[in-house]
Amino acid sequence: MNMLDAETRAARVFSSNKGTGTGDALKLRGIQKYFKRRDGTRVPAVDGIDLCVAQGEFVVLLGPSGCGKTTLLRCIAGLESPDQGVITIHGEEHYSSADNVDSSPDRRKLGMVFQSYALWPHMKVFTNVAYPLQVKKVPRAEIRERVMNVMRTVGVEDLAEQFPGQLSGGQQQRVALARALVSSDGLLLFDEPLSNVDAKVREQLRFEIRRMQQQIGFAAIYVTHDQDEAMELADRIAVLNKGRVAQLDSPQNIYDKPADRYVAKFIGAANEVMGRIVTLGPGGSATVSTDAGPITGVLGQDDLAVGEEVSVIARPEKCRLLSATTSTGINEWAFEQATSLFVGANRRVVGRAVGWGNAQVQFSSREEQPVLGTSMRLHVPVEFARIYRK
Amino acid sequence: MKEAQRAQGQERDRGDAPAPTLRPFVNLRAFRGGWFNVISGTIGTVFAAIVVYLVVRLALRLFFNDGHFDTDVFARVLAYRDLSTILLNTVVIVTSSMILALVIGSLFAWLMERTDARIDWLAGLLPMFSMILLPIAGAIGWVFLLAPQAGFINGMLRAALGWFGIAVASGPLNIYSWPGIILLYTAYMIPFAFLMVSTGLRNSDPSMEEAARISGASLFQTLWQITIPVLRPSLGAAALYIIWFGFSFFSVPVVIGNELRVRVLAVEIVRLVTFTYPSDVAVAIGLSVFLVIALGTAWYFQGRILRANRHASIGGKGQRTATLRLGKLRVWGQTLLIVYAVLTFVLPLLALILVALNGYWTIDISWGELNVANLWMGATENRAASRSLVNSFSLAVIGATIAMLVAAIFSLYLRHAHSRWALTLDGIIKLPSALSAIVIGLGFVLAFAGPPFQLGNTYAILLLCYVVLFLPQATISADAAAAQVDKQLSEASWVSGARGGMTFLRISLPLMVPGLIAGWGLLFVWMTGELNASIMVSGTRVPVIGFQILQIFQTGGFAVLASLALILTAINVVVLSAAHVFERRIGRGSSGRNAALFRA
Ligand SMILES: Nc1ncnc2c1ncn2[C@@H]1O[C@H](COP(=O)(O)OP(=O)(O)OP(=O)(O)O)[C@@H](O)[C@H]1O
Ligand SMILES: [Mg+2]
Repeated sequence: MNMLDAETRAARVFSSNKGTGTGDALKLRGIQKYFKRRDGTRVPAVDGIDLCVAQGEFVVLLGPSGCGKTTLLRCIAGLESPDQGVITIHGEEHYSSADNVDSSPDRRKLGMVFQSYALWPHMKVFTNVAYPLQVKKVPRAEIRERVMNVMRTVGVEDLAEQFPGQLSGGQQQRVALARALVSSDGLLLFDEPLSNVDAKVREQLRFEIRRMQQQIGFAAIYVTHDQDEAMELADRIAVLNKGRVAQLDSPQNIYDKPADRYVAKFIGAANEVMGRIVTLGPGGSATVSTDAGPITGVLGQDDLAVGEEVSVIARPEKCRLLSATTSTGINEWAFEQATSLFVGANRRVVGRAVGWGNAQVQFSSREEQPVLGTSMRLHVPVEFARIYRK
Repeated sequence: MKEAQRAQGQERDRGDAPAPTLRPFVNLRAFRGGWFNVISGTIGTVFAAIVVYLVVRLALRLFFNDGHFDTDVFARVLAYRDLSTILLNTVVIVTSSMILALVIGSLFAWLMERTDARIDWLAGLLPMFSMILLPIAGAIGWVFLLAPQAGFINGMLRAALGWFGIAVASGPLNIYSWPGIILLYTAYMIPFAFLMVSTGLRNSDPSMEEAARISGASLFQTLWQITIPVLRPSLGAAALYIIWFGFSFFSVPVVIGNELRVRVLAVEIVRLVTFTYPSDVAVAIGLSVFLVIALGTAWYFQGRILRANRHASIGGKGQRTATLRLGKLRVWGQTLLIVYAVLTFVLPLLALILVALNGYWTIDISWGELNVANLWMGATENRAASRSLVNSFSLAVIGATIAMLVAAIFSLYLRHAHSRWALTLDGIIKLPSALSAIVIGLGFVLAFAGPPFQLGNTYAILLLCYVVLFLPQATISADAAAAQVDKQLSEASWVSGARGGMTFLRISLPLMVPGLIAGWGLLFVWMTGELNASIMVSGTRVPVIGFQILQIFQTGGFAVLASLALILTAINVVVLSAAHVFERRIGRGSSGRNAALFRA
């Protein structure tokens, strides 16, 4: 990627060059937001979130329904007022409970792509995209140039004279992105923007958002509850759990080294067995006594002690099926195959192993697969049996 | 590079280096919504304050006189001449016509919603007839038709009887009679029953009825055992509206009642304020307490019906089922519907036209000398008449516009603010529709006509009265229009850098326009037709059309009043059709686009 190119491009898109400098695009400190229930109790929707987004960084908020993703995003945009914390955008403080600062959304210079796109049906596509500049009283000639520029970048320059109702879902999505780009200073918020389009288009748009983000270099916070989407788009993923950040890390680390049991079970598929730590070994290894007998694994959390109740989690694609003759002598169980199914290009074998309940083992198509059906043994390599606090 | 960035990011996330703070100016939290929000809230507060002020002044007048506590008003009301007769008359007339209206209105609703007797073009029009033709003009139209001596229909009937050798001097029918007055009340109440029951039928699940029919119940059994119980809430709502309307209905009893010597509450109250010298506002207010009691009782029972019927679930919204085939009865059903239209609209209108064209009211119309010029002459040559026409027209245009704008601003404010304060304001602003126009009118006379405002008999007090009186209806239209506009559309504008006012002008208002125009049309027609409050508030100084028609009727200038009524009817028809066409044309465009936008 050519840095210089990206910078000039960005300068043509955003209203100031803040978005291309160094430093943080967004900084959240201890954000809390409560909602009052009917009966008067206060429920935390966002419960103390810290987060920094660097210029040009793509952060995905991932979590199950109701964990506070939308609420957090709306707090950042200013559509909702948090109850605690500090929000800094491009170095400017826009919310601070301590300083009694809470600027309105029109001052935050963000772009936001809504789930329903929220394109204005009574305006042509051009006006939709030009609107943020019109309300800022930018001179007409400049508006024309910048809008056409953005529309070209996003690939909707032919649609300028159409009304939003005449566009396909994918096209509307692009227009919404163009509008968000025009209104922002380099920070964009996305709230599940792809949940309204079908799977094919979704994949295409996902790819394009990523391409444009790298080309233009905007920072983004992107809300989704789709893991694949998060993995594909993110520089970093923040996994949310009941209004808190459970883990904030690269997609690779989130997948390979989940920070706790919640993340491990939320991301990808998992075989799990409960037990109690018996001994702690060298190099973060430990032995756990479980229903499936003793298991040797590695600690997923540093501060686990002997005697603590834990869960051992092994991902299906890290498990092995061994023939009866080969044996590693550790973490092995008799495995009785029940079915096998295809997950994408991979094959997943589901069967029963004592103590594990329904255990799953996954093979990629390139891997050499064992002859199924004969007496087999399930094997979980020590480094892939991760131990988490229950 | 990404890796490096990420590592940096992680460090920053953990560390708590103080963020450099450049504070944006003015950050009072209350002003987040910007000036527009403050202005919207203020507008809402002002109108709510007016309503509260009216009610407080009325209540104070009941119990205090010159600053002393005193129950004199009640004593005088109880000593009021013929009080018990007046109350009895009112109750008898309203109850009997309510029962008739509920039966007929429900029958119409059932015919239109569930059977093949449905007449499509009539669906929207049926409830409108009684509004388009001013009720007072309609009542007078029926006097032209059924007055014992000079009524056109009576004349024809006598001629017909004459062929059979039966000679009668007057009659045989007489509008100045108990059946006459009750049937006229009924005609104006039917729309309420029709609308409520239609809505109920549309929202209730027809499969319940179908199931009953399949299990062998007869049509009548199904109706009695299934349909009516399910519709109880709708019938209750209809009854409530009918009582609300009936107790303050003025046009029919003032036209028919005088001659028949039947006095009713609404007419007495208005008479005390406007046609008595010196006017006795205190006793009028005392009498209106009976009105409020009647309304309160109706509200109470309606509430109980609603609570008792919470389980009467409503399913299958919008699904259109196979309509019931009536066979031979179909023609009869349709005839019934047409007859209603003819009786409430076509016949009185024809009578008015005939009188206007003829130049005076007589039973011996010389058909050759009818003159179209007479149509205009009446209204244009009579100074008072033309002034009232101008007054009513301009009041309705300005009033409907103000009310609709205020309502639009306020309902957006309500949707976005969600505060307890906003909800309270909403409740207060909607209060005038729960009370009656008579009460509000009395409130205006008491609170604004005298000191400190001294607005008595001015254009301003009428305008304010109309806006306050019809704001509830306006907010209902505006709420519906605002609900059509997705909240994210205005949020998107806000995030794009537009403040409240700009968002209102460029996003919310344009998207609400189709709904607002439809609401405006209705407000216009209601305002030109408003009578009870206008009469009390404006008196003779700023005459409005309904009042003028009444006065001319009492002095016998029938042709003038007929032409006045016809001109107003024409204006109403034009305004309503224009609003309809306009709404459809813009509406189809934008709602079509909207629909496509949210189909994804
Ligand atoms: N306006 C509100 N009033 C009361 N509670 C609310 C409101 N908005 C959100 N909540 C509550 O806050 C919590 C978080 O909601 P939020 O919409 O942020 O979830 P989400 O992560 O976006 O979920 P989804 O994936 O379903 O969109 C939920 O428990 C929700 O019920
Ligand atoms: Mg959400």
